[in-house]
Amino acid sequence: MEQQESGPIRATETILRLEGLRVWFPIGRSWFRDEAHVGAVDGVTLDLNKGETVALVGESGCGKTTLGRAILLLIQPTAGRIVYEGRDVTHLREKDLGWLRRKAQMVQQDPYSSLNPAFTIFRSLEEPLAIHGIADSTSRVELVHKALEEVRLTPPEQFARKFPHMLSGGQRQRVAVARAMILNPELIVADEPVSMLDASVRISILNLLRDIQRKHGIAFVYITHDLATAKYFSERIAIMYAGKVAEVAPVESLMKEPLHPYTRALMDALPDPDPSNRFRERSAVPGEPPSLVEPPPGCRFHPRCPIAKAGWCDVEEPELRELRPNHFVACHLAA
Amino acid sequence: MPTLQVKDLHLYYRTSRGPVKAVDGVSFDLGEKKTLAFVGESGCGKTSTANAIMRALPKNVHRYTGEVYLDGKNLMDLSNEEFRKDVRWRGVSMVFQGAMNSLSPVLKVGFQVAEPLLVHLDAEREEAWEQAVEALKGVRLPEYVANRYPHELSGGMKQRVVIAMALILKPKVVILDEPTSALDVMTQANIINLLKRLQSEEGLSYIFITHDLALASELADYVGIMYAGKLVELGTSEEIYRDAKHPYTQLLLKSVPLLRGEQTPASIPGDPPDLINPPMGCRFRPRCPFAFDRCAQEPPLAWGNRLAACWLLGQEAAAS
Repeated sequence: MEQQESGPIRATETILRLEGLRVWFPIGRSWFRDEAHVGAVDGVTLDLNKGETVALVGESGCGKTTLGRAILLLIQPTAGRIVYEGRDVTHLREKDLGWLRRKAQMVQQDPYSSLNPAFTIFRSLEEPLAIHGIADSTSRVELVHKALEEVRLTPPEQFARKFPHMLSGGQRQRVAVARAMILNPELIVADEPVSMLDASVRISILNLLRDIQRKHGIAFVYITHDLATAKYFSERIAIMYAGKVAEVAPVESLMKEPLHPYTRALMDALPDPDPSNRFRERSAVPGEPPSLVEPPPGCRFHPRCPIAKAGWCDVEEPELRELRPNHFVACHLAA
Repeated sequence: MPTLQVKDLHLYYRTSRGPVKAVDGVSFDLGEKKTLAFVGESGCGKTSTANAIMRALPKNVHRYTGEVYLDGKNLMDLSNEEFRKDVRWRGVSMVFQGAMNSLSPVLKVGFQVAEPLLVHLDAEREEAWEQAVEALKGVRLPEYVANRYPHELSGGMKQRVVIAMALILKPKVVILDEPTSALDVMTQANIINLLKRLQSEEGLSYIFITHDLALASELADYVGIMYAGKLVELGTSEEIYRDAKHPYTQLLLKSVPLLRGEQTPASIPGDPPDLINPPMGCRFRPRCPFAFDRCAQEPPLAWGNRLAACWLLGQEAAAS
């Protein structure tokens, strides 16, 4: 295994480290309530290695998008640290962030609203180059065409002249990918990059992202609610629930042996195509994720958890523990 | 006799570039207490098929023809007023895509569920309210929900409200258009379980529209695969999932990432065709890995008891 990993940069080199990261959104004081906050991300510690793909998986409101935005410092964290290549960037001011804005990019969910409808594809792609003062205008044309070729929008001259409304959803998302990678980033955060696309197109966009990521050794955070695509397009999966990481593990380990009851519930709820599905009910935990203003004490999943133990799970908050190699779980009862 | 029988249904939309052939000759039967799922990519005509059955049509209709029999009665013979009074919501109802976000924000949920009773049956307000409360209980919502406004409810609860509305006039057929696509997986599982129970309790037949083959298998007794306005394959769930005949169905199945078991998902190259000028012959021909000369002609429709619109099967049938 060591021999296989003898490339120039490989797995063990950390590019990004999150330490106890919190993002709290204040909600104002009113007649009925003292000042309160929504703990969208509430103490997340996670490492991301160079060239690695980590999926953040969870239901809506679990904090995965907020975490993704905080990683890129698009939202200022409330507490905790973000360390980028050994450098603490948590409290850097915007004017000192230029280098990070170049190295870390984002692909948004909705290709219908992430591209300026009044810009040609060329202008959308040239803009980041111009902002960062990269190359002169002739070489920018070349760079844009190269990027379009890389996302397989060929011939590039033709696509460069088009406007977003002339493209299909899948083609627009390819443009968004091209824009994210045109600055040669080291990290891309993709927030539900394929959830608005058709099943058959989804796979081609995910394959494209993976090819580009492998070719250039880009670290990749794949934010999704879909455990099935996370299984195929990431190396590690972090399961999030109510602002916290419930379980984080290499894909094979998680699929073989999900240790957190929430992870198991998530898997049970997701069907595979099978004609016998219609003859049985799917096991589904009742209830909804908790309020992030006043989260339940102890383990946040305990009110819905089928195995919660009174006096323990509702009192003491579980820490992430490494129960299998590289497989961490925040559950008192997992063993 | 099938509960719902659709024969050669066409729905074209008029546009400045010419008619869009959204539904182009769709035929199927739906039996009592059975579910037929329509699966296909966006723009394949699955929602248009549902709208055509419900006669929920936009203004720019170019062609609207075919036969739709509900319990043997041809609905296409009815006037719009007769259809509205006797069929819509009472005979066939529909849970529209995104309907849970179309609830009125200023009306209590109970009134909204009761509204079809007031409009269709001239029910008394109090009686209608009581029935609405019952309907909400039927979808396993607590009684107090009737007195709440939509913004006080979660997504899953709102979706249950919309289902209660669709069921309140006791229809025979319910069309479910992506009823869970905006919901989280656990909420989705709960709603699907509810739909299963309601089907057997109320004796409903479902038309289930989804782009998700895995989800379709949760409810479907029969699956119809749609492509570019046509039904390209129709069969029982077992036939479609275990023994798909049409290359498009086969490729669609291969594009699904499986949570259990190993299958590296593969994408289908190319894009669906323009429905104003669809390709001659088989509409899937430009993307089909097995296409040959004969596919430029109109493909056959049925071989044996299965419907699969593909010349490859024609060859097999001719050889045997």
